Amino acid sequence: MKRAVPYVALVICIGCGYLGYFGAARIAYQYKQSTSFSSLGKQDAEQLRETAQMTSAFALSSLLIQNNPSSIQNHVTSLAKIRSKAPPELWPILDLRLAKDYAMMARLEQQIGDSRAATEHRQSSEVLLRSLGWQDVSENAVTDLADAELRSRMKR
Amino acid sequence: MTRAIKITFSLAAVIGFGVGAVFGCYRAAESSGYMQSEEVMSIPSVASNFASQQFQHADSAHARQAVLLEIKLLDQLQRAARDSSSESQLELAYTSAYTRLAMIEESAGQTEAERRAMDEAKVQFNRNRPNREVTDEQMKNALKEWDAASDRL
Repeated sequence: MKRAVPYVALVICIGCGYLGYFGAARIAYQYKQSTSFSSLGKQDAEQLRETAQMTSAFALSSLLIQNNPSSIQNHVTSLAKIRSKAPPELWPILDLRLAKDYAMMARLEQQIGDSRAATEHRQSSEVLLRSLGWQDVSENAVTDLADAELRSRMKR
Repeated sequence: MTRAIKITFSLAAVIGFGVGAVFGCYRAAESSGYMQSEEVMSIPSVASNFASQQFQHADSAHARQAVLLEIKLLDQLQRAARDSSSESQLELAYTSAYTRLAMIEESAGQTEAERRAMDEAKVQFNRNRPNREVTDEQMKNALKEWDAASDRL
């Protein structure tokens, strides 16, 4: 029994070290995140944190879109989640991305002959673009927008 | 289990937990700093892309709202900026935002607002380049070229 004591102590030491590392990392990370931009006032810091988290999540999710309807549909769902947490003043940024996603979906659906879904998504895109003050929301303009977006994704 | 063994095990647990916690805190500070700069860097680019798209396609009122939102977000960032390098990056973002605002006001026929925005763009541009003279047209053309290059990407 006495011979095993150092080994058991070592195992306890490593196990507790592991627990301490992850516990402290989690708590300290959350604390650091919640106190970032503390040089600003409490309200301004909170606002900037929300903005930064939204723009970062938005930029990252936009990078992951692939040129197929199911990937774009997943992105639309994730944008809805981001939008629900974002400050209202940032909604137009997300709405423009959403309009582009619908336009891309409509274009891809048109190419595979699903004209009903294509019309529905193109109309959703037009509604959003109109709400953003776009001057030309004709079918051709939405198709051009979709083509430009699809081309830019193919380059990446 | 003897008292000596209990003390040995307890000490092992306390030392392990303490050392782990110190490394955990260090790692959290590092990751948090990295995440924060990544999040902060995304603000000007997302806002600028949106303002650029709205400027190209939307009516004057919506384009103005977009660029004013960009300026508001830059103001928030500037208040939080801790070092001179991030401030100089913001100056370029401000320069393009105010130049864009001037172009929106120009197309809306608001001469006085255009002048104010252009003056502010020059103030921002000259903050780190006090001896550099640039005309309104040069600044507007530079922004147009930048937008065209972004569209090609």
